[in-house]
Amino acid sequence: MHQSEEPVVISAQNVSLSYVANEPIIYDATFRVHKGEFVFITGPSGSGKSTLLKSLYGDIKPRTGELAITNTPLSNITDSSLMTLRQHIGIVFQDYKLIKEWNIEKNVMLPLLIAGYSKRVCEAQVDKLLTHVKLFHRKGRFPMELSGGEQQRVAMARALSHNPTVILADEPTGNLDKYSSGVIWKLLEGANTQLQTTIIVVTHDIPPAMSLKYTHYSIQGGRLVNETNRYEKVRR
Amino acid sequence: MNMVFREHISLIAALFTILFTLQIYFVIDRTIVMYEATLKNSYSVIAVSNQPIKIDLAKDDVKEIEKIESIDPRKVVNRLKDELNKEDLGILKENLPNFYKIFFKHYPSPDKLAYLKSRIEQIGGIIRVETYSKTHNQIFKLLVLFKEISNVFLSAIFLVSTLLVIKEMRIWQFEHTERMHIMALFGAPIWMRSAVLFKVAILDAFISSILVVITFLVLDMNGWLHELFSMIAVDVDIFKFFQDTFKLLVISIVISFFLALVTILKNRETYDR
Repeated sequence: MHQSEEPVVISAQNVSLSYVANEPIIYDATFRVHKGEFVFITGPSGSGKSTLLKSLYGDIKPRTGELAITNTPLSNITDSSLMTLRQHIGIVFQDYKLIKEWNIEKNVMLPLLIAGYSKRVCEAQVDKLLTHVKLFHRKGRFPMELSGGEQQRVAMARALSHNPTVILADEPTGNLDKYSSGVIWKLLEGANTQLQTTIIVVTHDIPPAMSLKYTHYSIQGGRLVNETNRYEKVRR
Repeated sequence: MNMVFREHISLIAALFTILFTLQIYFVIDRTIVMYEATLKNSYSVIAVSNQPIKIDLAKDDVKEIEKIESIDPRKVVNRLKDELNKEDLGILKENLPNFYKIFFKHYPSPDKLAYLKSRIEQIGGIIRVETYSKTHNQIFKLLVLFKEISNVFLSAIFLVSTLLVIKEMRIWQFEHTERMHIMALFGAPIWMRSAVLFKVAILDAFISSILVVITFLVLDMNGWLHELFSMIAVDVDIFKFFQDTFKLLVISIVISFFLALVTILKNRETYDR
C-alpha cells in the first residue's frame, strides 16, 4: 500500500455482508483505503462486488464487524447522518442512474443543490465539469437523448461536481464501447491524480495499463483477497 | 412531456371527480336546508283553546315555537253565515273558542311533532291540537328519502374516486421511486426528495379546483339548473364563489398533500436503506 501515510478514508474490520441472515455473501472482510488511493475490486458475477460497494454507501448494513467511511461508523448510522455522509461521496453506476425528467445540467447539479450552493456557484461548476467531460454543448438535453457513453460522462461529471472525498464506481464501463470506456477511465484517473480523490471501482475488466498501478482486491468465495502484492511480484 | 402530462391528468381527473361530488353534496345540502326552511315557514299546527292563551308564556313553555298567530274567529263565522240564521250565528259567536296557528323554529320530524303536540296540549286552555300529520309525514318522508338517496349516490362516487386516487398513488410511487432513490444516493434529505411530489400535488390540487370552479360557474350561469330548482320553489345558490372556491381549494390541497405524504412514507424504507 503505497499511500499508507495518508489518512484512512475507508476502514473495514471483519465485515460480513448478507441480504438474508446466516447466508453471508462477503465473509470477514478486513481492509483499509487511504486518501488518494485508487482501488479495484474484481470478482466473478454474483461474487458480491456490488454488495461490498453498496455497504460503502450505506445501502446495506454489515451483519458483523466494523465498517467506517471518513471515520463515520456505518453499523448503526441514522438516516440523517447517512444522508450527510453521502454528500461527501460520488457514485457512478453501470446503468448511469440519471434522473430522466431532468436535463443534463440539472443532473450534474444535483449534488451541489443538495449541498446548498447558490445557483450562480452551481451553474459555474456545472459549466466547468461539462466542459471537462466534453458535453457542454449538450447541457440542455435530456439523458434519453444521449448515447450510453455520453450518459456515463454525465454521471462522472455529477459524481465529481461536489468534489467528493471518495468516488464509488460500480462497473462504470460495463455498458460502454472501448472508446467510451477509455474516456471514463481517464476521467477517473484524472480525478484521482489531480484532485486526490479516493476511487473505488468494482469491475470485471481492469484496463491493462492500470492493472499494475493501483491497489487490487478480488473476491473469491466470499473472501476479499488482496491481489496487489501478487501483481507487485509479477512486476518485479 | 407526455409522461408528465399523463401523470398530471390522471390525478387531476381523480381530484376533479372528488371535488365535483363534494360540490354536488354542498348544493344538495343547501337545497335541503332551504327547502326545510320553506316548509318550516309554510307549516303550522292549529290549536284550539277555550280561553285566550298567553303567547309569551306558551313560547317559554315550548321553546321550539317560533310564533303564534291568532286566527280571527270572524273568518270562521263568515264561512257559516249563509248556512245559519242570525240568532244561531250570535250564539255561535259567543261560544266560539279561540283558534291559533303555531309555527316552529325548525321543520319537525314526525316524532318531534308528536312530542310538540303533547307539549302544546299541556298549555293552559288548549283543548285540541291539529297537526295535519298525514300530509306532514308524506312531505317529511320525501325529504328524508331525497337526502338518503343523494347521500348513497354521492358516497358511491366518492368511494370510486378515492379508489382512483389510491391507484394514482401507486403509480406515483412507481414513477417517483427511482428519482427519489437517486437523490438519496447523493444524500438529499427527505424534504428535498419529496419536494417534487408536493409541488406536483399542490399544482394538481390548484388545477382540479379551478376546473371544478369553472364547471360550476358555467352551471350556475346556465338557467337549466335554476329552472329545475324553481320546480320545488327553491332558489338555491349553485355556486357561492368565495365560500365554495375556498372550501374546494382547501379540500383539494389536503387530499393531494395526504396523497404525497403517504407516497413518501411508503417509499421511505426502500430508498433509505
